[in-house]
Formats: sequence, C-alpha cells, structure tokens
Amino acid sequence: MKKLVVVLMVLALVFPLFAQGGKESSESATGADMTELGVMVQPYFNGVVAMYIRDQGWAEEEGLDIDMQVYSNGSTANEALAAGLWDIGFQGAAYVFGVINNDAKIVGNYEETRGDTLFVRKDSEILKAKGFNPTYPEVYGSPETVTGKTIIFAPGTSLHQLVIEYLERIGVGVDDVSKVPMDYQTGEQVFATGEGDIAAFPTPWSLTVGDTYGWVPIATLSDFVMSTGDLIVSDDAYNNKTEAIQKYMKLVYRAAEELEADHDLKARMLVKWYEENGREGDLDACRQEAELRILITPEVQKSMDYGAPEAAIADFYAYIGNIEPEQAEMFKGNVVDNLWKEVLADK
Amino acid sequence: MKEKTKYIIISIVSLISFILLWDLVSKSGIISAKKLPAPSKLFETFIYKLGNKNPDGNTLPIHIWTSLKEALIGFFFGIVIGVPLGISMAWFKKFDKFFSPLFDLIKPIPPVGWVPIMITFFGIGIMSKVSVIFIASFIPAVINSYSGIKQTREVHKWVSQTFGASNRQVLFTIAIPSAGPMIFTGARVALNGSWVSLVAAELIASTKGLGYMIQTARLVGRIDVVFVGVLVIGVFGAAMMEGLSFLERKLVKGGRRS
Amino acid sequence: MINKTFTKDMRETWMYGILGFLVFLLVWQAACVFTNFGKIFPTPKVSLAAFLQAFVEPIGRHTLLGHISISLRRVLIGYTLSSITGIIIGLLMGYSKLAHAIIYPIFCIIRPIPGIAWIPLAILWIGIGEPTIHFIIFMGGFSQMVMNTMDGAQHVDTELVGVAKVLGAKENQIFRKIVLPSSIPYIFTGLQTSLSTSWMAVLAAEMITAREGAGWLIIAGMQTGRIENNVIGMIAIGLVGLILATLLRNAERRLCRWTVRSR
Repeated sequence: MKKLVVVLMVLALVFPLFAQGGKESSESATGADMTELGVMVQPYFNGVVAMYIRDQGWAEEEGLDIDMQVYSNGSTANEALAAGLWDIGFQGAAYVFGVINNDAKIVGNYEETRGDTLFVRKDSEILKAKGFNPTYPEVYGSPETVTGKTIIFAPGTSLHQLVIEYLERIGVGVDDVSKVPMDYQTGEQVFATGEGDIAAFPTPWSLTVGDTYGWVPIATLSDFVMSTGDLIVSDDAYNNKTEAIQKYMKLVYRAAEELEADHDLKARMLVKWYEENGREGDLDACRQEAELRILITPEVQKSMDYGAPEAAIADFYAYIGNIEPEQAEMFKGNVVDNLWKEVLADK
Repeated sequence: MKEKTKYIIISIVSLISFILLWDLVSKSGIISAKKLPAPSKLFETFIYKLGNKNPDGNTLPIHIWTSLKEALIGFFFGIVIGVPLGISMAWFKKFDKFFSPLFDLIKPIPPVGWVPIMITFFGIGIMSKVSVIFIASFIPAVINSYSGIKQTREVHKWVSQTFGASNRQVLFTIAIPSAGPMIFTGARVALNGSWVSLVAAELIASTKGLGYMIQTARLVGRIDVVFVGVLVIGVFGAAMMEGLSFLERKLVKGGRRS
Repeated sequence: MINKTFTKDMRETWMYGILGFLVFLLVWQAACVFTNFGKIFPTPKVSLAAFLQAFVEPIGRHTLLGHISISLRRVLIGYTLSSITGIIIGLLMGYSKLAHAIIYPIFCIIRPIPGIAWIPLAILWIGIGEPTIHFIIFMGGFSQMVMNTMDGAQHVDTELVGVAKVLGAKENQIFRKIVLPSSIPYIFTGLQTSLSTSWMAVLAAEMITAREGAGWLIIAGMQTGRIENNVIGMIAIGLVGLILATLLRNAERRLCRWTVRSR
C-alpha cells in the first residue's frame, strides 16, 4: 500500500513536468490571431523604429495588435524565436542563426549598420603605420605592428567579422594575434584598465569611448564590407500572417522615411529609447549615431544590392565554424525579396 | 546487503525509464524536438562534440578540463581561506565582531554580480574566473566552519575550565575535530557552489569551458549542444559530490550522515 | 551586573562592526585611488550618493524601492513554490527508501545545474514572461530545500519508529507524529538557506528579458557601462538578503523553541 502511494506520488510529480511543456507548445500554436503581432527588438539602435511606430499609434490604425518584446541579446531573442514567441524582429548579424535553426525568413532591411570600429590606445605603435594597404588609406596597422597583439571583441557578432576582415586586409594571419572574446560592455571596462591592445566596439560605444578615454579608431567595418540590420520573420508568420507582416513592414519604411527626413527627431527618439531601457541618453552621442546609422527608406531598399551583405555574413560564420557550409547556403535561400517588393510596389 | 542491491537496481531502472519517457515525449512530438531534443540525438551530439570543434571552437574534453580546473582551483582557495577564517571568527570574539556584519552583507550577493568587479581587479585571464568561483565556495566554507565551532563552543569552555587546558589546546584538540562533520558539510556546499557558479564565471572572456560552450551554443541556436553542456555539468557535479561524500565517510568518524 | 556586561558586549559588537565597515570602505577607496580599479569603478562616496539618490530618482522605470519590491515579489512566488515541492519531495525521499531510489539519481544530476544554465531551457519551455523568472528562482531554492528536508526525515530516531510500530501505530500515524515533527528543524534550516539562494537567483532570473528589478540593475549596469547602477544593485541585493535572513532566523527562534541551534 505504502509503495503504491509512493509510486503514484512520484508519477504525479513527474507528469505535470511534461504536461506543462505540452500545454505551452499548443498554446503558442493557437495564438495565431491575424491581428496579433509579436515584435522583437533589443535595447540598442534597432529598437528605435519599433518604438517610433508604437508611439505614433500607427499599428492600431492598421488593425495590428503589437506585442513589443525587448530582448537583452541575440541569444535570448533566438531562443524565443525557437519557442515561437515572436513574429517579426529587428536584428543584426545574429539573424543568421535564427534563420538557420527555425527556417525563418529575411524579408527586408531596416538599416545600414555603420560604426563598428576597432580602437587602440593613444600610445599604440599601431598608429605609426597608416595606409599599409593602399586600397584603404585611412586604415591603421601593418603586419609588423599588429602581429602578436591582443584583440578584444564580442564573438559571433559583426565585430568578430570586423576583426577577421581587418586582419585579412593588413595581411596578418588570424592565428598571429591573440583574440579575447568578450561582451563589448565588459570590453570597455577591461580595455580601460589597460588589458589588451585593440578593442572592437559598436555604436553607441564607438561614439563615446574616443572622448571618454582618448582611444583612437584604426578601422571600421564599413571600410571593408557593407552590413545591414534586417527584418526577420518566423516561418509561421511568413506563411500564416503574411498580410499583417506586410502591413507592419509598410510602417517600418514609413518610420524610416520620417526619421531620415528629420535627423534631429531621429536623435531625440534614440535618446528616448535608450532612457526607456535604463541607459543614459546622451543627445550628442545620439546625434552622431543618427548620422551614422542610416535607416533604409523605400528608395534605398529598391536600389541596394539586396542579399549581398547577408551572404557575406553567412560565409563569415561558416568560415569561423559556427555554422556548416551547407547551412550558409540554406540561409541564402531564405533571404527573400517578395514581401518588400509587394509592399513597395506602389511607392 | 541484498536490500541495498535491490534499491540500486530500482535506481537504475528509474533512470532508464526516465530517459525512455523523455525519448517517447520528444519523438512522439508532444513537445517538439526543437524544444526538447531526444536523448538519442543528444548522445549523437555528445559523441560529435568529443572530437569536433564546431560550433564553439573547442572539443568537449577541452571544455570539461578547463571548467574542472577553474572550479577546483577556486574551490581549493575557498576552503583554504574560508575554513580558517570561519574557525577564527567563531573562536575569537573580536574577530567575529569585526567580520560578521561585513560578511552578512556580502553573503547574499550572487557570484554573477562579482563578475565585473573581478575583471577589473584580475584582468581577463584565468584569475578573474577563479576569483568568482572562489567567492562562491568561500562563503559556505566560512558559514559552516563558523557554526561548526560555535555549536560546541560552550562545551569546550567547560572542558577547558575543568581540565585547565589552554585555549589553544582546546581549539586544536577538541573544537576543530568535533566541528569536522560541519566543516565537511561546508565543503560539500562549497563544492556545489563553485560548480554552480561556473557558467557565470565563464561569461568572462572565455574561449573554452562548459559555460562558454553553453553560451556560444545559445547564440548559434544549437539547443542540442546546450543540452549536452547542461547535462555534462549535472553529471560531473553529481560525481564530484559523491566523491566528496566518500572522502567524508573515510575521514570523519561519526559523520552527520548515517 | 549581568545587564552591565551585556551592554558592554553590545557596545563592542557595534564598535567592531563599524570598524569592519570602515576598513572595508578604506580598502575600497584605496583601490580606487591607487589602482586601475578607479578608472571604471566609483569611489565609496560616489556609490553611496548614487545609492541614496536611487531612492528618489528612477532608474529605468522605477526607483530603487520599486525595483526591490518587484524582485521580492518574484522571489516570494518562486520561493513558496520551491519550498512546497521541496518539502514534499524531501520528505518522500527521506521517509521511503523506494522513493529515494527512484528520484535521487535524477535529482543528483539536476542539482548541480546552475540557474543561468536553466535560462535557455526555460525560455524554450515556458517562454519569456514572469513564469520563466519564477522558474529560475524556483530552481535556485529547490535543491537546498530537498536536501535539508531529506536529511531531516532520514535522521528520525529509528528506535522511536520501532517502538511505535510495536505499539501498533499505522504508517501514516508514524509519518505524522514522528517523522514530520522531527524533520521540522531541518526543514527550517532548508527554508533559510533556500530563501537566500532564491534571492541570489533573482540576478540570473532577471537576465532573461526583465526591464526592472534589483538584478536587472546589475545587468543593465553591465550592459550600459553605468557601473554605479551595478554597485547600487549589489548593495540592494546584499541588504535585502541580510534582512530576509534575519527575519527568518527570528521566526525560527519563535516557532521552534525546542530546537537549540546556535547560529
């Protein structure tokens, strides 16, 4: 009798564990209401468009019920995508992983990312060698000065790509430097205490560290390749919520047009977005960032070489071994242009 | 003895049926494989990671070795510094009054919180990771050796009064040995603490280690690698705890566990 | 006479306690002035000012008290759940060898898995809302609770149980009248340690997507390079943890006077 009770209790404890998981999955599947749209952003530049759309109240006019979700980094955002929690997202280079693992689609661009920058301290010998590669006269560094140095960067991001591209351009082998992977947040602190020789930062860090610490930029990613922030759509939403996605994309381009027409407004919105997320909104730094990072307006979207930056970053991830080469090919196939072409057809 | 083997068999059967149930749930699609990879798939990934560097840049044995090294060094220093401090806090009143309030305040701060501070002090090498783990094991080591001595302190006093032993003699010949089981409990909690804080520690500038492997696998969305990492942490943690319990049974007579 | 030595003792306690803090602050100050530490880390004075200011001026969406109460609510939910399940499973494993044999191996593997490592799995299974945060906190306190309760139920006087059996007590009588009461002190220890580990887990839990809470302050401080927020969060977590531990210790003293556990 006692044993039976024990066994039953064990079962009773184990069962809800699995039942819970089962319930969750069915729940997220039934949440496919035509007007409900989960929008993924991060507390960085990529959130400003979504915030602007929210503040203008455009979504309601279009009959969209927006659930804006702020993720602190690409990892959690991608996990949430796998769990089916959002439909459309604003994302940088980490979109590659979300697409590969969840058969999500890249449907358009929202920004041209600039400002990923390599810095050295004022007294670095790297500053003595400028324009070693004549194609890039503004870039500092040479094989003699860079070999053996320590580089701090955030792995798996466009900063990682910057480091690889940089080393290639100045003719230094990837293994001839020591690479220290680190969040740029911690990277700033560490570099300030005198660790490392070169550090990579994105905006808004790259806009402020020069003034704060006197660090000198030696190269930026946009010197070498173009990189973009993209609109990524879950497989489910791509197939079943196409109309809502297109409505939202229309708003994204509309916001881009308004914000690009008025950079002062863009900077102020950026300040607001940062303060909402617990960061100091420095208006000057935001002005610079607003100048530097260009939102993709309909004209730009139509004229740019769509899919090229995406292909470059996928090849980069395959090169460093984060993904398999055939996954990179699969990714390129998931960069689709039909949605934005339809959305912008009448523009 | 016969009864013991019976329970061991039940344990094994339980583990196997748990894995089978898991497999069933995953393969039948009640929970999609994206959310809960099947054990067979995890085993495949485990074998793959044993010799393959993708997607995180190092093989599993290197990750395990790095993590073990960091955890054990941190644990070692935590014990070596924590136990004597705990004993002195319990034995010398002034010491106690000096450190206790400070210690009480620092105690609840989770090891993750120390990460940025440790980086600024120790840079980006292994030391900053070890120091985070050190804190996680140092605190339980102090607490348990402290209460181990405290619990029997009154008795020691009477003994010393009765036999006229010096304070020092009582401390070394009676108090510390009698606090042995408590100190070992502390060591066990400390070992658990150091292993648990591993992932946090490896948020710092790492290129290898189980925590790093999990972080990278998260970024690239390899949920199977995440699972393998989490399970390896679980299995190694369990093995180390059992090892310490074994040591305790050998070393401490009349240990707390019957 | 007794009263007099008592006050002297109290005075000493305060004196040395304050002295300890002063030395700590001095070391902190020295580290800021003489080492690289100061380049990025605020001095004690600046930190304290920021800490006090946080009570009035909001950081992100709330003032410091707001962040603390949000975190506290999360912890209490996770903690209550982990205590209940922890006690049930612990008693079960301590009392019945069969249950022990069935659950313990699985429990052993789950126990060393840290809160942060649960995050990716929790997001996949539960999503990104408050329940995920509660789950991480739950895992933070759960194993402590189980271990302590199990210890208690295993340390029941076997002779007492034997006598009861001889006298014809039923299984559930033995459980209610002997096993449960003698496990209570252990359960209380479990409640104490698991409260502090639950509270510590709040930091890992708020790493997920939270935009408020004491743990979030530390994380946001790290992410935005505003290290003073980091310090504020740490002081807040330390203080609240201290208060919680003291409260529970006093509760134990009141509720189970029969167990003399010095601590």
